[in-house]
Amino acid sequence: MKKTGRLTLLRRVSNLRALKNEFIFSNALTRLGWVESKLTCFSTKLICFKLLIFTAFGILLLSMPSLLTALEAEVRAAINADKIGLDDTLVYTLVFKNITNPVQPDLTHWDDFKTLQTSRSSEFQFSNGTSTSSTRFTYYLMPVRTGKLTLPPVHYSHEGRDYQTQALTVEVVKGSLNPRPASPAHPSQPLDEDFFAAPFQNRLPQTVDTRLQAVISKKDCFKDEQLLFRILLYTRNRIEAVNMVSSPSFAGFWQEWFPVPQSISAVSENVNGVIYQVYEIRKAALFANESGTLTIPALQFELQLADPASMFIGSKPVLRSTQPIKIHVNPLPAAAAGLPVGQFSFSVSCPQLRADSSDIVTLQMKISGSGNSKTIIPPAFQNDESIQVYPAKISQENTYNPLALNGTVRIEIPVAFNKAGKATFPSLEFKYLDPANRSIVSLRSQPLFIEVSGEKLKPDKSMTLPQSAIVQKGEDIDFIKSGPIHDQSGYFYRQGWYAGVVVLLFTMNLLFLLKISLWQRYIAGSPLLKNRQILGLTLQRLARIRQYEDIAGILEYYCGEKSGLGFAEISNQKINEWFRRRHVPADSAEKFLFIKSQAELAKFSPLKKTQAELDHDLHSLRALLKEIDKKLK
Amino acid sequence: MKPNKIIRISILLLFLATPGSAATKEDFSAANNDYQAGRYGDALKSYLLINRQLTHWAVLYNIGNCYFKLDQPLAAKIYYLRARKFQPLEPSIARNLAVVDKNFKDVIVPETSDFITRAIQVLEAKLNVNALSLLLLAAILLLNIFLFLLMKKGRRKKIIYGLAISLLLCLVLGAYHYDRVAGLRQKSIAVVSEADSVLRSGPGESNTELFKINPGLEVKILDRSRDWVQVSASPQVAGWIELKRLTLI
Repeated sequence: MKKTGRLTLLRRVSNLRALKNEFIFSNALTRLGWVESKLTCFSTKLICFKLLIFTAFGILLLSMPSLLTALEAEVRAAINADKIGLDDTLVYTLVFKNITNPVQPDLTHWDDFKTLQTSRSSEFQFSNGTSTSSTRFTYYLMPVRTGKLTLPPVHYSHEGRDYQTQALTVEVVKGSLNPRPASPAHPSQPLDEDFFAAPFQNRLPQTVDTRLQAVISKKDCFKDEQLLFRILLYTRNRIEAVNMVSSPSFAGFWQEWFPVPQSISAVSENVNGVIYQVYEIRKAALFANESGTLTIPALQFELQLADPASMFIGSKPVLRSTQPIKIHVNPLPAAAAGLPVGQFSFSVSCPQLRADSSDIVTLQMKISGSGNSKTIIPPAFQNDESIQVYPAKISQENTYNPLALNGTVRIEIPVAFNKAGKATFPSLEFKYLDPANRSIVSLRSQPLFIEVSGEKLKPDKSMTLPQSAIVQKGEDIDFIKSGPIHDQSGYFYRQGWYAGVVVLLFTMNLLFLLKISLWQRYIAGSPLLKNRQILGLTLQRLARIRQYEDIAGILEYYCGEKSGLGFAEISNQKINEWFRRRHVPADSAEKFLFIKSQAELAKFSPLKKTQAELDHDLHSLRALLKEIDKKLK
Repeated sequence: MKPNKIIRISILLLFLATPGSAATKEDFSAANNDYQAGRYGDALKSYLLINRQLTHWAVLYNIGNCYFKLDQPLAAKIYYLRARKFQPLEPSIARNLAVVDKNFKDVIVPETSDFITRAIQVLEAKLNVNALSLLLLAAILLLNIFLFLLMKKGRRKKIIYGLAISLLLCLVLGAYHYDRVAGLRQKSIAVVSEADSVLRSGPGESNTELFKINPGLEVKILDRSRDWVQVSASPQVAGWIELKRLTLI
C-alpha cells in the first residue's frame, strides 16, 4: 500500500513538473513544493522505520544470553552401562541444561567409586526459534567393589532453586565386560573413505581408525637400568584431546613421566600401505625395581575425536588401550650390588684455595648422567684432626632429553677447619655399573688442598652453622606481652568532652559564617548603622586633629556623607538650606557654619589659635554635631 | 596563653582520657609472673579480671596464650581474634593464630589481598579511631581559623584556598570517622563454636544443607535474619547458620 501511494505521489509530482514547464497553472509551483516536502517526509519516515527494525533486531541479539537464562533449567545424570566389570570404567555424565557456567560438582567423596578423570563440554543449539545451552560434565569412575552399587543423587543450587538428579544403580561384577582391544598389527576397521582428503563431502558418521602402541627401548635389561617407554598414537582421524584414563603408576618399576608438551607434532608412517599420522603422546623413563619377568600393563586412554557430523564444535570420545609389554630384568652382578646403573660423570671442586680458620667453606660435588639419579648415594669426606665436615645439602634435578632422562645431583658440603695449616681433602671414589659394557666403572675425584690461616676463634664468637645443620625440634606460640596497658575501647568520640569541643567549634564556625554572610551584607550596610558610623568616624577624626584648619575638611566630609552631595557642591549656603529642610535649630546651624568658616579662614590667617581655644571649640563642636545628627536622622 | 602551655594541657587531657589505673597495671604484672611460673590457670583468672576493667590487645593476647597452654584451642583462637581486632598488624597474633589453627579440622587459606586493600589495612591499623577523632577535631579547628581569617582579612586568594582545603579535609575525615565508628559497632567476625554445625542455603532448618563445618572455623558475617546469620568462610564456602552456634569476636 505504501509503495503504491509513493508511486502515485511520484506520478503526480511528475505531472506537476510538466505543468511547471508549460507554465499552464500559475499555482503549480506552490503545489509542487508542498508535494515534494511531503515526499521527503515520507522517505525520512521510511528510513527511520528501517532503522527501528534494525535496532530492535540488534537489541534482541544482544539480549539473547539474558533470555536464555529465563529458559527452564534442568540437571540430568546418565551412565553408559547398567552392568560393568570391576576392571572397567563407568562413564557418568551430568548435563546442565540452560544453566550458565555451572560449577563442576565434586564426586570424590563417593565411597563406591573412584574418580579417574573428568571432562567438560558445552553446547549451544537453535531449534524451532528457541535456543538452548547445555554443559556436560563427564566423569570416568572406577568401582571399588562388586555388587549392586548406587550412584547418589547430585544436588545443585542455581538462582535460588535447588536441582537434584536421580539416583542411579549399576551392577559391578568381577573382571571386565569389555572386549580386549584389537591387536595393533591388525587394525580393527579399515578406513572406508579418507576424511582428511575431503572433510565436508560426506556427513555420515566417520569411520574411526585410531590405535595406540606402547614402545619400549629394551626388553632385556638390568635391574635399575633406564628404559624409555613411549606411547604412540596411530590415527587417520583428527584428534582434539587425549586423556590418560588408567593410573600412570604400575608395579615393579620406578617411573618418571616426561612432562606433556603443549603441542605434539606428527610424523607420517606407512602401515600396510595405509598412511597414518603418528603422535608420541606420552613418554616415561622406567627403572625396574626387581629382577625377573615384569609386565608393563595395558594403559587406557580417552581420545576426543573431532566430529565432522556436527556443524558446531563437538567431539566424540573413543577409548583405546596400549598393548601390555613383557620385559626380562636381569639381577645386578654381585660386585655391582647397590651401585647406580647407567653412565655418569663425577667431580668435586672447591671455590677457594685459601681460607681463614674461622671460615666455613662449601665444597661442591656433582654427579650427573643418564641413570636413576634419585638412588645415588654420594661418597662423603670424613672428619679428621684438621677438618670438620657438616651434613651436606643435596639437590637433584632432571633433564628430559628425547632419548633419555638425565639427572644431576649437586651436593654442597660445608666444611670448617680445626686449626691453621694445609687442609687436605682426599680423593673420593664413585662407582657405577655401565649396562652397555656390563662392567663396573670407577671414577675418582682430584684431591683438594686449602691453605688455612689465622687463629681459631672461641666457639661463642664463631660463625653461625649452615642452615642444613639446624633442626627444628618443636613448635610453640609466641610468648605473652607485658608493658603498659590502657583501655583501648575508651574511644574519644564516646566521651562528653569530645562532643563538647566539636559542638563548640561548629558553633564558632556558624557564627563566623553568619558574621561574614549576613552581618556585613544586611546589618553593617543598613542606612541606620551607616549614619551612626559617619558620626562616629567624624568624632574620631576630630579627636585626632592638631590644627584648627583641619576642622573644615572633616565637617565637609560629614556633610557630604550625610546629605549625599558631591564634594564640589558643598557650600555654606547649601548646608544652611539642607539644615533648614531637616529642621535643625537655626542657632545650631549658625554655630556650625561659623566654626566651619573660621576653620577655612584659619588656613590663611597668620594668627593661630591656642591649644586651649582649639580644645574648647572642638568640645562644643562635638556636642553640636551630636545635636544636629539627631535631627538629620 | 602561650602555645607551649596549650600543648602541655592537651597532652595532660589526653593522658587523663585513657587512664590505666596503677592497681590494674600491678595486676597485669602479677598475672604475667604467674604465667612465667607456669601457673596458667591463676594467670588466666587474673587476665580475665583485668579484661573486665579495661580492654587492651595485650591482655586479650595473653588470655589466648593461657587458654592455649590449658589445651583449649577454640577459646585461645577467639581471644587471639579479639586481640587482632585492636592490633591488626601484630606479628605475634598472626603467628599464634597459625599455630592454634593446626588444632582444627577446617582450614581456609586466606586470600592474598591486593596492594590497595593491603595499604588500606595498614592505614587502618596505624590510624586508630582515637587518632582519627583528634585529626577530625584538628580539621574543624583549621576550618575555624580560615573562617576567622576570612572574616577579618576579607576574601584573599590564599584564605579562600585554605578554607576550601580545610572544608574538604573535614568532609573526608568526617565520612571516614563515621565509617570506622559504624564498623566498630557491628561485629562482623565470628568463630564456629559448636560441633556438627552445617551451613544451609537459607535461614531455617528446612533449607538445604550445603557444608558441614567444624568448630574453630573463622567466618565473616554478611547478613542476619532473626536467630540466623549468613556467613562466609571463603568465596566458595558460604551459607546460613544459627547464631547460637557462633561466638562473635
